[in-house]
Amino acid sequence: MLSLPVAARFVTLSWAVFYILAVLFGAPFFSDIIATAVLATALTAVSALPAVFLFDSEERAVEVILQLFSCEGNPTPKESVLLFNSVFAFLGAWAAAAVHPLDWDRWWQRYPLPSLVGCFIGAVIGIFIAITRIFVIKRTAYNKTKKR
Amino acid sequence: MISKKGKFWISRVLVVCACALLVYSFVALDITPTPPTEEFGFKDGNQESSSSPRLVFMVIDAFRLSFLTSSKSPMSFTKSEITKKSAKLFDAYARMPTVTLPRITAYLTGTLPSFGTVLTNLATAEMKTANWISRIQKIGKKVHFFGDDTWIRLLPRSFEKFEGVTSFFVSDYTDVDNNVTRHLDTELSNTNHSWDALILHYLGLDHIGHSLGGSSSKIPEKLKEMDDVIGRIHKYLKSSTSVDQESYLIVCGDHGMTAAGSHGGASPDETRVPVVIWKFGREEGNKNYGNQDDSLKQPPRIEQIDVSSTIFDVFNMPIPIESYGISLINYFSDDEEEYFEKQHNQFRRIVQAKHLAISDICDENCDYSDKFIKSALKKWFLTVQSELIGSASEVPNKSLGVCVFLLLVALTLSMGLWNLHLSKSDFFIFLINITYFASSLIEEEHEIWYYLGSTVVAIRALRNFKIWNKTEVKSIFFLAFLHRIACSYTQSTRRRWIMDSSLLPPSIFSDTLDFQPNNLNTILNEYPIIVILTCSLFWMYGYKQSKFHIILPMVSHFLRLFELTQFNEVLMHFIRLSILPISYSTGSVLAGCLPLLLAIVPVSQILLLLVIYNMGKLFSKLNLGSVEFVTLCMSSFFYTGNSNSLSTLSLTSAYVGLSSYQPILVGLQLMLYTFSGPILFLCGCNASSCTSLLNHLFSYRISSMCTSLICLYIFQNHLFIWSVYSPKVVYDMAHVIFFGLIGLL
Ligand SMILES: [Zn+2]
Repeated sequence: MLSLPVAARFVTLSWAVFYILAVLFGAPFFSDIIATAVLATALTAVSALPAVFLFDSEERAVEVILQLFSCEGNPTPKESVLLFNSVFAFLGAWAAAAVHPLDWDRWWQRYPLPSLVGCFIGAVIGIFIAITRIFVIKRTAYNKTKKR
Repeated sequence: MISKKGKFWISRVLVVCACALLVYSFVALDITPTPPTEEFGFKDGNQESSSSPRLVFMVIDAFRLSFLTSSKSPMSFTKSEITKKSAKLFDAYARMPTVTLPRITAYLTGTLPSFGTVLTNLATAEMKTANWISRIQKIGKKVHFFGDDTWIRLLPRSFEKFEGVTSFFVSDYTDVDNNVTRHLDTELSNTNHSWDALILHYLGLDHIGHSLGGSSSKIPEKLKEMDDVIGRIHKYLKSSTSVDQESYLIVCGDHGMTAAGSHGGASPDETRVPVVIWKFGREEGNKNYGNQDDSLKQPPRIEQIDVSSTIFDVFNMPIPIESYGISLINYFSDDEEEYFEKQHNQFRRIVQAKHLAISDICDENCDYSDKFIKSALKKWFLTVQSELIGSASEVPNKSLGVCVFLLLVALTLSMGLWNLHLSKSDFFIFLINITYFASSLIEEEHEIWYYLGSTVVAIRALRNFKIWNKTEVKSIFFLAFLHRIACSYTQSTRRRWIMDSSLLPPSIFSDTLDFQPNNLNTILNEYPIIVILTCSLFWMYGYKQSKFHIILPMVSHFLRLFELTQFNEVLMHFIRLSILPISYSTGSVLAGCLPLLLAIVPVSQILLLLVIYNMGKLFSKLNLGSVEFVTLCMSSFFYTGNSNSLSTLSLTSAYVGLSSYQPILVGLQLMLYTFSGPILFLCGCNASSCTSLLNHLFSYRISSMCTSLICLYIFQNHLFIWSVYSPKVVYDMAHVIFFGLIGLL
C-alpha cells in the first residue's frame, strides 16, 4: 500500500486525467459537470484505487503502467489482474458510448449511464479474463514440471 | 494489368458515370409519359362569367406553421381572422424534399414528385402533368402571376399577365417582394376585373432565412409586411365579391424554415406549413369550420396535395386521375353528400387503375347522407391517400444495381493504387460503412467521426508512451485539444440540441454546477469587428505563405460589415481572379482557393478554419497514417456544421459578393464553403505530400456511396427513405466527386 499523501496525490491525479480524457472524447465541458465527475470517479474506483492498495511504491506503479503501453515487461499475477481490470473498464466505457447517437430516446441512454455500466461490466470481464489467464499459465507451468 | 495511371483515371471516370446514371434515372422517374388525360366532357356553360369563382393563391416561401401560430407572430390580422373563424387554418405536411419546385408541383398537380427533383430544382422544365392552372386557362379563364419565376418556367404559356422575380439571388429580400406587391395596385382595382385567378409567390422570407439566418430581426418585419398584403387582398375580395359570386383567398407556405434559416430536411420546422383559406360571397355563411375552440393551436392536418384538389373543386372542374389529394371543399360548402360522392368516385377510379389492394367501403349504392358511412369514408380516403403516397416514392432498382457494380469496379481499381506495405488497420476504415444501415447514425454521422477522431488520436498517444518524446506528446495533445474545440464549434445547430428537451430523457445527475453558454459560433458572431481583427492576427501568425492572402479576405469582411457592397464586389472579383496566380505561385490549387474561402465564410468561422488548418499541420508533423487521415478529414467536414440533411447547406456563403445570380460562381462558392473543412485540413497538411492518403480517402468514399445505394435499395419502403437515406446518397455523390477531383489537383 502506498503512503497516504502519495496515495491521495495518485488518486487525484488519475481522477483529473480521466476527467480530461472524458472531455476530450466529447463529454460536455460546460454542462453535465457532475455526470462527468461521476464517470471519472467510477473509472478511478476501478483502476487507481485498487492500485493504491496493490503497489508498495510509486515508482513500481509508474513502471507497470508504462510497461503496459509498450506491451513488454512482466507484471506479477496480482498486477496483471489490476491491469486487465483497468484496461477492460476503459474499453467498456469507450464502447458503451455507441448507444448515444441512436434515437431510441430511452432513459438509460442519457450520459453517463452507458459509460458507467460499460465501465463496470468491462472491469468484471477484465478480472475474469485475468484470473483465467493466470490459471491457464499456472496449469501449463505445472504440466511442464510434471513432465520433467 | 492496368497501369497506375490507368487505374487512377478509370476509377474516376467510372465514378462519374455512376453518378450521372443515378441522377438520370431519378429524374427519368418524373418524366414517365402521362396517360392521355381525357377531358371528361366538362362544360363551362352553366356558369355566367360574372358568377364564376375567383381565386387568389398566395405562396409565401419558407412560411412555416409557427410563423403564423406562435404567440409572438406579428401577423395579427390573419390570426384574428382565424380565431374569428372568418378563415380556416390547416396544418399542411410538406413532404421531402422540402425545396420550392417539388412543393409547388404538389400544390399544382396533386401529385408528389420524386426525390430526383431536388437535383433538378435549379433547372426547371415545362410541367407535363395535369394541373389546375393549365386546366382553367384552357377553359378560358385568365390567370395572372407575379413572383418566383420558377412558375413561369413550369408553365410558360399559361399566364396572361406575369412578372417573374429570380429565386436564386438570396441576398435580395426587399426588391424581390416589392416587385410583386407593386402589381397589386392595378390588379386589385375595382374597375379592373381582369383575372379569374391571381397567383402571387413571395420570396423575401426565404431569402432572409438564407442570407441572415432564422432568428433575424428582419423576419418579423417581413411577416408583418405579408400580413398587410393579405389584409389588402382580403379587403378587396370582400368588397368586390357580389352575393352570387364566390371568391377564395388561399395563403400557404411551400416549405418551412429551420432555426438556422435553411430548409431541405425533414424536421417539423421544415415540413409543417400553414394553409389559410378564406371564402367570400355566395354561401359565405355555410362553413363547416368545426367547433374547435382553439382553431389556431390545433388546425386539421392535411397534405399539400389536398389544396390542389380543393382548387379543382373551387372551379368546379373534374380532378385529374393522377391527383390523389383529398379535397377540402367540404369545409366551405354545405353539400356534403356531393363532396363525398365526388371524392369517393375519384379514389375508386385510382384504386382500380393502380390495382391497389384496398377494399372499397361500399360498392354501388352508397348512402352518402349516412353519418357512419361518412366517417368511414373519411378514414378510407386517408388510407387510400397514404397508400398512394407510399407507392409514389419509387426507387429505380435496375440502375441502382448498375451503379453499385460500377462503383465496386472503381473501388477495386482505386484500391489497387494503395501502397504495397499495408497494415491491416488500413482496412478498418471500411467498417464505418456498417453504421449507414441505421438511420439515426446517418443523422448523427458527425458524432461518429468526432468520437473516432478522438479515439485515433488517443491510440496514437498511447503508442507514443514508450518513446516519450516530449514535443511529440505535446503535439498530440494539442491535436486532441483542437479537435475537441472544433467539434463543439457548431454544436448548438445540431438536431439534438434544437429538439424540445422534454422529448429527450431527463438528466440523471443534478445540473446545479452547469452553466449554459452559447457555443463559440454564436458568441463570435456578436462581436464581428474584434473577431475579424484578432482572427486576422492569428492567421497572419499561423499562416506561412504570403500575408497578402489573409489581408484581402479580411478587408472584404470589413467592407461587408460596413455595408460597402459595391467595393466588396470589386474586391471579391479580384480575389476570385487571384485564385489562378496564387495556385501557380504556391503550387497548390487548394492554397489558391484559400483567400476566396476566407472571404466567404461567416465571420465566426474564420477562427474555426484556422483551427482546422493547424490540425492539418500537426497531422503532417506527426506523420500519421491513413486511418487517422480519413477520420480527421471527415471530422473536418462536419466541424463547419454540415450534416447529412440538405438543410445544413448554407446558401449565404454561396452568394457573398455577387449582385446577380451567376450559377457557376454560386456553385463554386457553395462547394468551397461546404467542403471548407477538408480543404483547410488538406492545405494544412500540404495536399501534394499526401497523395496516397487521398487515395485511401477516395476509396473509402466510393465504398461509402456503394453502401448508401445498397441501403437505398434495402430500405426503399422505410419511413425515412426520403428524409434520411436519399439525402445521404446526394451527399455521398458530392463527396466522391469532390475527393476524386482533389486527387487530380
Ligand atoms: Zn429557400
